[in-house]
Amino acid sequence: MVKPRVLILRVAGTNCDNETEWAFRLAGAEPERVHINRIKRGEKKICDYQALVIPGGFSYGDDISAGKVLVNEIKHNMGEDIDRFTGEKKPLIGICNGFQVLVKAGLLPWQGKQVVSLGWNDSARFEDRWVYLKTEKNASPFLKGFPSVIKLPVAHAEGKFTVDSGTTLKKIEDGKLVFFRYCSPDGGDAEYPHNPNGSAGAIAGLTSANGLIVGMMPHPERALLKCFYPDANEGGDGEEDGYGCRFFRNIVEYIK
Amino acid sequence: MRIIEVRNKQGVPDVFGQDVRKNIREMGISGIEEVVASEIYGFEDSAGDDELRYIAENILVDSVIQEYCLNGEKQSAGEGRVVIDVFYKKGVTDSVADTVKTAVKDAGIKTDISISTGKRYYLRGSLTEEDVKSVCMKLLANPLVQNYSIRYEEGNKSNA
Amino acid sequence: MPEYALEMNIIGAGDKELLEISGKNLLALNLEEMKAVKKYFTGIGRNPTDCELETIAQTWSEHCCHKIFRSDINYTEKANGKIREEKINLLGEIRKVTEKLDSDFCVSVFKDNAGIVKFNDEYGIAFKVETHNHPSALEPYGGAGTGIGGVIRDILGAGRGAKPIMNTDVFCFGLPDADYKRLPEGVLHPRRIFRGVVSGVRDYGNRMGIPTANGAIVFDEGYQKNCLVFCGTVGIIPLKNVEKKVMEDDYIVVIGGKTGRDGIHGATFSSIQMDANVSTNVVQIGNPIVEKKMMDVLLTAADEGLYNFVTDCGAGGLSSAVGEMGSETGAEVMLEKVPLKYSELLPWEIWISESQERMVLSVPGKNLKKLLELFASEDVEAAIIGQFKKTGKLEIYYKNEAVCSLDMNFLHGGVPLRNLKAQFAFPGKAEYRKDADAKTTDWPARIMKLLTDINITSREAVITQYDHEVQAHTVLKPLAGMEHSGPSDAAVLKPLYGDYRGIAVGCGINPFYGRHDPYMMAGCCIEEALRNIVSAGADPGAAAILDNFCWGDVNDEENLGALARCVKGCRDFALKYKLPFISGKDSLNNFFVEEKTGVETSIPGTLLISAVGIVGDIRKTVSSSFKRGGNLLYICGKTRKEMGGSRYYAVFGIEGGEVSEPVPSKTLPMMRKLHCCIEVGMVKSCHDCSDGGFIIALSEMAAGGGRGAEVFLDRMISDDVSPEALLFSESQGRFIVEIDRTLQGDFEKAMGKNVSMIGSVAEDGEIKVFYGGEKLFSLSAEEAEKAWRSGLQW
Repeated sequence: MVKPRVLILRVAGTNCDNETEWAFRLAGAEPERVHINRIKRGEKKICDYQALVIPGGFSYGDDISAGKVLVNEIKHNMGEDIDRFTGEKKPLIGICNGFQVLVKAGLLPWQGKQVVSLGWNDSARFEDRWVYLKTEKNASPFLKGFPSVIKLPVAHAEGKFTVDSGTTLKKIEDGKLVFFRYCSPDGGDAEYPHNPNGSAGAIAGLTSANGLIVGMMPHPERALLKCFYPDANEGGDGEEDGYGCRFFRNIVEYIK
Repeated sequence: MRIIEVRNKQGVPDVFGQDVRKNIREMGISGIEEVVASEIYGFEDSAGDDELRYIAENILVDSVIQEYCLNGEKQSAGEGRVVIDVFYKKGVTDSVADTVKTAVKDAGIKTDISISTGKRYYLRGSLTEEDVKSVCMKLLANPLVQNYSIRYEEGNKSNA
Repeated sequence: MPEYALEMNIIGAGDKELLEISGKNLLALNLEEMKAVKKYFTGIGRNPTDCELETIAQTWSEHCCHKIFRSDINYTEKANGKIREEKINLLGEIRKVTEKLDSDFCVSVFKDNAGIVKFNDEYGIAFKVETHNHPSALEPYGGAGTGIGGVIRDILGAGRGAKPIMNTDVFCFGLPDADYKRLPEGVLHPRRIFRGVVSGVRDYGNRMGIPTANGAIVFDEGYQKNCLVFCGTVGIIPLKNVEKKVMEDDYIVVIGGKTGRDGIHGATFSSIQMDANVSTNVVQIGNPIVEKKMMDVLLTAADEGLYNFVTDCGAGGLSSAVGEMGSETGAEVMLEKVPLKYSELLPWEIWISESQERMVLSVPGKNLKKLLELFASEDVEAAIIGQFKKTGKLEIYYKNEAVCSLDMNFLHGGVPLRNLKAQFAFPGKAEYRKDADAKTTDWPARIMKLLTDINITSREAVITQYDHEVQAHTVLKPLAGMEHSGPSDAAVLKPLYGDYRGIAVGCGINPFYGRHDPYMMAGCCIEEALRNIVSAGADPGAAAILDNFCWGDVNDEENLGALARCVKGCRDFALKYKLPFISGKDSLNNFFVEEKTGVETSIPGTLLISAVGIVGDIRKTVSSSFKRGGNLLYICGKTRKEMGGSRYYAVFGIEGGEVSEPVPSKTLPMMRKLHCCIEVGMVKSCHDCSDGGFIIALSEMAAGGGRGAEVFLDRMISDDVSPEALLFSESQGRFIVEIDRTLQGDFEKAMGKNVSMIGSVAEDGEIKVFYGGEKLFSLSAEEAEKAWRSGLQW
């Protein structure tokens, strides 16, 4: 059987592309890391792939603000192709820097003008830590088989979920567009450090209404195996394949 | 040089300003009350105002949390604060400036712009001139690689 | 009439003029060296050009050729009224260890940009640690950033290109509560240096996508005027790519950043006229994205075998990089082909500029087109600047005018080495305090105070700012558990995606012991680095170490003597622990002269030992936090009254005491047994006793696991010492180990006499300590955790 092809977009400063590639390979796909220049030159076309992933990193150094320059580049070079891609119900996934790109490009929570953002952490600095995440009820097929609370690491400086207005937040909640929410170990409300950045509504990830465009600050590609869980050694409950792995399997399952 | 200043919108916490305030306190300068920090982008005269506004709106500003002003417009006058601008000296790597140039090109602007990036700090409180100089030298700028300028908004000197 | 090169009148110069020329042009060459230069040029019958003199000055600089470490030293040691003399060569002593041990584990040592050891049959691990002290003192953010940028390039330039998989960072700073008003002119406040350095490493390392997963921070008054910044990088490399050789007619290709006037003459001021608006070039700000882009394509080019040789362009710039690469062939360079940041550079400036993010490749003609296309495809600068020619000469042109023509043999072999003198006298034993054994019964208060001590308290505020998990390799992270409640001894990585084989990386640094005896300091640092990786699961028999010496003014015979004694310690203890040195670096003359008073302050002699070892199966890695109430607790190793230089004495102001003396003949066999127990999964948690002694280690394990313990001090293996020493002595060779009750017999059988069961883990969260049949004190794990996490404010 032909394995589904996944395009992992690379630009100057992308740095989670290798492990994301490994994640999709483990999940049974045929991933390919592709530099944006090759798309601009027409050597590669995103329509030849079944899923498109913008991985973590510091695209263009996150100069100006996180993901901003890449948003500009994508809009001017791949904007229409991406609209066509998502129109065909192919998954578009943004992790960390990729999530920042998706919201600033106006692809999440709905396609249009930018209505939410990811601002500087309340701590005013980059932080790498593991968090508890509540898996929300939404249309996304990628949360299939998840328990209500899982653990994943976050590592970012600009991850504070911010909305342009209360109306937007209400529309997101009413429309069931929250993918993950930061929570306390028992699934309750999260305060710092459990809400690591001060996000509005403790929102850690969003999904489009059809569940196929998904963006999140946490890094599932860093939780593919139990050994990566910081409490693996403490008798923690991470399964042999971590929940990160299940997330990627769900995507591959969907596009197969 | 014309300056685009990008700052947080009203109601969005200024985490850097708060951080700087804490550091000034640590230096033993207790008169400091508030610090507001913003990003500044200095352009040499090659670009026109319309182009600069286009660059600000499409490249520099995150419209959900930030706003901009060009050449000090929209400045509420008479708040009586000290304004400190810090720029890199010529010849020092200014990677953000290089990135802005790339982004300007991506956006289809053909004009060859010359740009430098820096930070602006608004300090409010009862600060002596010596305090301000000390904050510049010991905290906000390193004279080996950066230049700074100090300006007083109207109505400040009184409490110095 | 030459247009681009200046003739320097050396042939006709007397001694005074020679020194003047060296001084005026910031060459930092001494009279003997200038005379050697004069002799060479007299021999070939002409004067040198400015470019030639600059090239020689760079190549012969202390920074590039380590004259002190290569010189013979007449060393005198005074102890108990006896005088012993010895001739030693510092570099020779260190290399002797590796030669004598002759281990199969070593793949490439002391010849490349990094040391390389064997990971498995296919891959090697490259490791290098550098210092960037002076730039970091002047501009902490830029200095530390370019420090990490530089050592990453060392790994990229190891063999035919290793892939960086981890960074380490060790800093020494002045005390953060120093009075702002009392700092001498030209010295930045320790707090500003601390924040700047950490931010610099964070912003560069994180953007490079390399996890920063191990390190240490030492705070001491002695570093107020000269901070120390050690940056290390670990890489992985296919063993088939380890050997590299420049081939005749290969093209010289410079890649990455453009060349500017940066860092000319390293840390001295430039002779170029500057106005207030132009940087003095002394310090640089790095651009990690330029380096990241270069790394991405360079590793692809390495995979495809497109070049024969690669090296970093660091100190001395192209002059050092091309000079070294061409040392066995010869090289011809066209300087006008070097991509510049701006146009007004002089040829010699282009040649010795230290602009960041550049590397040099040696590329065979047949691959040239493909290589240039590859670099262009991702917008990375790559320019052909010359060719390696079988001439034995370094020939440099600028717009067809010869600006330099030197014999490689003279350039690389012509530096005259000095005969140095050094002496070391044991400090008279400080009057031993008869009442040193505290009468206090308030042990918990003392423990809490130690847990918040600036040199013991958690580095969480720093560690969390580093992305220590990017690349998804990091198995044992720097802090324990979901909530960062305890420390880890070492970082454990799983470098290959499809394989459970791993590496552990740890370090040892303790300048406080050095004040008592640099020899024992060396032993303790080596042992601590080894203990750290062993307690995380590394095999002590498959481990190697790196040395980094940072010393004060070594023109002073006593300072040099202390350094020599430290090197002797490195030699003796590394041999006894059977740990080969695979790479090392020295940074000498870290001292500050106060302008007003002329008072000179040297840093405390500082040795950093970094260790890397193999973990056969990372699923067997253990962390330091307590796992389950009821599990048994063991102490491995003997406690002596060794409290000289201890944190306990420092915090409570007690002078004197014996410094800890490692006992490799006992400790190494014990470590091997402990490793076997970890490997078969018998050990639940393990932590070594170091700063603060037994009770601090125990408190950290309790904090990490959120569990308490019941321990009986009388059961510790000791020479019948007081409770104070049992709690706080820093004797080497000790681990605390947690074992499942059912494995008691197996563990005791495996470990033999090396261990003693001291108690058990308690689920109730109280640390209860008994002595002489009575409860001495108790302390809650939660309070210990709070204290340990509160001492370092960002």
